[in-house]
Amino acid sequence: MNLAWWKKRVPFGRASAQPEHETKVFDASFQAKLDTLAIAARRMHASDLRAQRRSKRVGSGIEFADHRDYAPGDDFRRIDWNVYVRTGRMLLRLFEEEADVPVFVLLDASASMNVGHPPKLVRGKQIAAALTYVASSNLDRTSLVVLRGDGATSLPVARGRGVVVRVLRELERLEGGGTTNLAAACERFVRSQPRRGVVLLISDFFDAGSLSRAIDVLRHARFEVHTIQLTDSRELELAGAGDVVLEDVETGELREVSLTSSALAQIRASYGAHREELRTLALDKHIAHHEVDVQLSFDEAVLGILRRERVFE
Amino acid sequence: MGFLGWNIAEIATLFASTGAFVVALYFLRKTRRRVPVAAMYLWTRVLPSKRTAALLGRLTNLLSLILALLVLAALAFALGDPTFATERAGTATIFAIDTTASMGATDETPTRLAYAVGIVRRELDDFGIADEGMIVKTRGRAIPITPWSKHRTTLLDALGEFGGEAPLAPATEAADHDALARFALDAARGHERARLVFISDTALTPSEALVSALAEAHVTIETRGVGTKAENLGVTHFSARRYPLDRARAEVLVTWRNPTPEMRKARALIFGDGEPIDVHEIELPAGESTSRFLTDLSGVDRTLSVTLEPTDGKPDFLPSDDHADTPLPPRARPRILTVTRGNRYLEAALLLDEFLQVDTVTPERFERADGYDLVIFDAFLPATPPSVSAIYLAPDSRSGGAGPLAIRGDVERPFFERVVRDHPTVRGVALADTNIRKSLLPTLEPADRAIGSDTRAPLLVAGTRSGARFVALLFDVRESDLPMRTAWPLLLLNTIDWLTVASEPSGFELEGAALSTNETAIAPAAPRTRIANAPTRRGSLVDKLAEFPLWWLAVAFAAALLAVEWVLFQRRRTA
Repeated sequence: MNLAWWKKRVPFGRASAQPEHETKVFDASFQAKLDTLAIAARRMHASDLRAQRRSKRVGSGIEFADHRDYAPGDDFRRIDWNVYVRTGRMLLRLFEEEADVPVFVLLDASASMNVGHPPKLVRGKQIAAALTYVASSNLDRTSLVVLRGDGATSLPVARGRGVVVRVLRELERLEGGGTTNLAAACERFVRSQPRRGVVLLISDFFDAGSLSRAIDVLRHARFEVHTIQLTDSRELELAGAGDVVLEDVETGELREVSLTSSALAQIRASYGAHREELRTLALDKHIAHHEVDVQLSFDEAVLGILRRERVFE
Repeated sequence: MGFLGWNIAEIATLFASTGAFVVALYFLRKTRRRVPVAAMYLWTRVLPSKRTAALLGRLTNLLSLILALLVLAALAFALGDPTFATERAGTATIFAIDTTASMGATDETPTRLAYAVGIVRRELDDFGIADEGMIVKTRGRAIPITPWSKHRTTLLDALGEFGGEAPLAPATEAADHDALARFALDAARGHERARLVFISDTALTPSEALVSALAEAHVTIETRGVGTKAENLGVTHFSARRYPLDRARAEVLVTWRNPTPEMRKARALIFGDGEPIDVHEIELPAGESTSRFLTDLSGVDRTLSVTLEPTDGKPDFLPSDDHADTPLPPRARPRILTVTRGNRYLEAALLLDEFLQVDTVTPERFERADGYDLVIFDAFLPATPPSVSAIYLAPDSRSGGAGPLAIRGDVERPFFERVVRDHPTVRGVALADTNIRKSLLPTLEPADRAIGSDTRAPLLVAGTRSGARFVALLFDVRESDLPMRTAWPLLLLNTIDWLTVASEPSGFELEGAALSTNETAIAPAAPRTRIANAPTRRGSLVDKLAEFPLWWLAVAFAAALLAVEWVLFQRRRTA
């Protein structure tokens, strides 16, 4: 699939202000790498459509899975007569049935995602585009869900590579803004989505108090949850020392402070504690958690970190 | 405390203007930056306790302003070049560095001149804050290269000028010690204590009167000797001349000198226009000069050179006198106009010099001599005298025309009884027994010179009319046996040479420059001064402290303040 036309027409986020290596999402070699990947799912979800993903359910596929004893009513053609000749037991040959998995890419588009160098939303868009592309390449049904405030705006769940174009156009139009309320947004998403599948939640997770609830909402709705936390290792470094006015980008709250080196160290520790809190939460909830530093290149973030973290197989 | 650089008013003005700028920057800095943050709640976990630091922050900002102003004050103070110098009078020192050719000798490393400069540098190291100095180079006369200056760096920078003088070119002029002494006397006027430090390989020997005058002016004379060796061979004279009758060939006179007390052997290479044309192996007796004519040198148009190379393996410490150049006199082609009704003797004589460019006209067709270097009137006088040099043969003004000499009669059978032998026109010419039927009796003007004459009348006269030189032969050569003699063409060509070659009046003079023999003799006359052991004049510990440069302390203080400011405000700690 050649997306050269798309690279020209669909810049990501503030692409014009970014270096070329930040805006050049796909090239031929990168696309080839993506084509070899498939989204790993720990659980299989029932579906009527066949895809390239192996399910644990035995069915009418072509790849041998196991034997079981014959029971009345079974298809007589599936009896393994060779085994019967050797052992005298009537065993049925079982084949793995291939099924698709709906993949939901949830992207936090709150104002806090505009912070960072490059902005986290830009990197989030790029990662969302890459995940969508990979899922579509594996014939999985895919949907992009934009979380902003307590709302969740979804594109229709669709299969095929045509969905990539729709997702990319949506990402092109997407601007960061508003507050963050992941729990409410996830509840709205769950209510609006009858199918279950893999959820890839991309956010900075700056949402005091509702993180645990948001994850619980997804887990209890039987989604397989991957959280991808976007961080910026230079975010605090650029704040510098001295007398400054802090401005909360979501609420507009202002606060005059005098930043000393020790204060900056404590704030750095506070950010670290926030990340650690999220890691602990992920362990407790048995979900996959991934951290992506926006200072890393797009290639490294998508191909290195996510593959190392077993998002793709 | 005093200031050698900017005065206190200038320092105050600078501090006030730049200080205002710093204060303005301070107030600009107090305007808080706005920092967007993604999650204020993460900051409020630690910031409540930090808000109490706002007052401390204001104090530290004020400290930052104070530090900046202190740095500024220290730098302004440094610009003033402060000193604890007392009012004591310093010493004014004239450093006279000998730059004659012998100072290019290489027995000191790299040269005597460089060594002399090193001595001055060492002296300047001991220069006091109240001392003044002046650098002078002596070569025939004293040439100051700096004015009086209390700034050691100014004097040290001026010493860099001597770097471009090696190797020193040979000079015919020797150092004029009287001129140096008179210069020192003038320069030291108005100074209570003055010194004349002469750095040379020769002793300073001004006249007794000047020595007394210097003593009365409280000017002390000190000599710093340089040079250790005397081995040297040199070309002391090298000149060339063209042969008058064959100007394509030349001869040179070269003089070599061996000032050392032992016999030396050398090879002399002669170059013509840069190409080697002759080689001579020579022996140079101890302490003597040897002159030699090298004759019949041909194929050279412009320059002759000689290079002397020792062949006995012994050193030659002054390379600059081993080579000499001399230009050859130019071979101009004089344009000559002869005004004659026909004179085979004249034409034949002129044909002997192929270098002459001769045109001939009859008296009736003669109008002007413009464009010619010389005009020869043969038994004819023009209506108006020519504006160029002229030779008159039998110029009888009684028959009309404007001749250089008034003729008042004839003289029968004259002889050249008196000839001015040193005149170029008659050099090598024998005229004594020339038979002449008759000659003209002229009236000479006071500036005219009779080169050859009978007791009754001059026969050959040289003079000047209207700025143009002339030579008049007062008889017709056809009425004498002069054309039968070799003297005739020699006399004519000598006269043409003398009248046409203004830069070469004799036509056979030696051309070239030579070193004075004093420069070839490089044996040091003054005791050598060892730089490492040069006497120090630095005063007491109090004087040293008084002369201690405070400006760099001020700069160091400013740097220390900057370091403190950096530690307090700029240093970043990384986790």
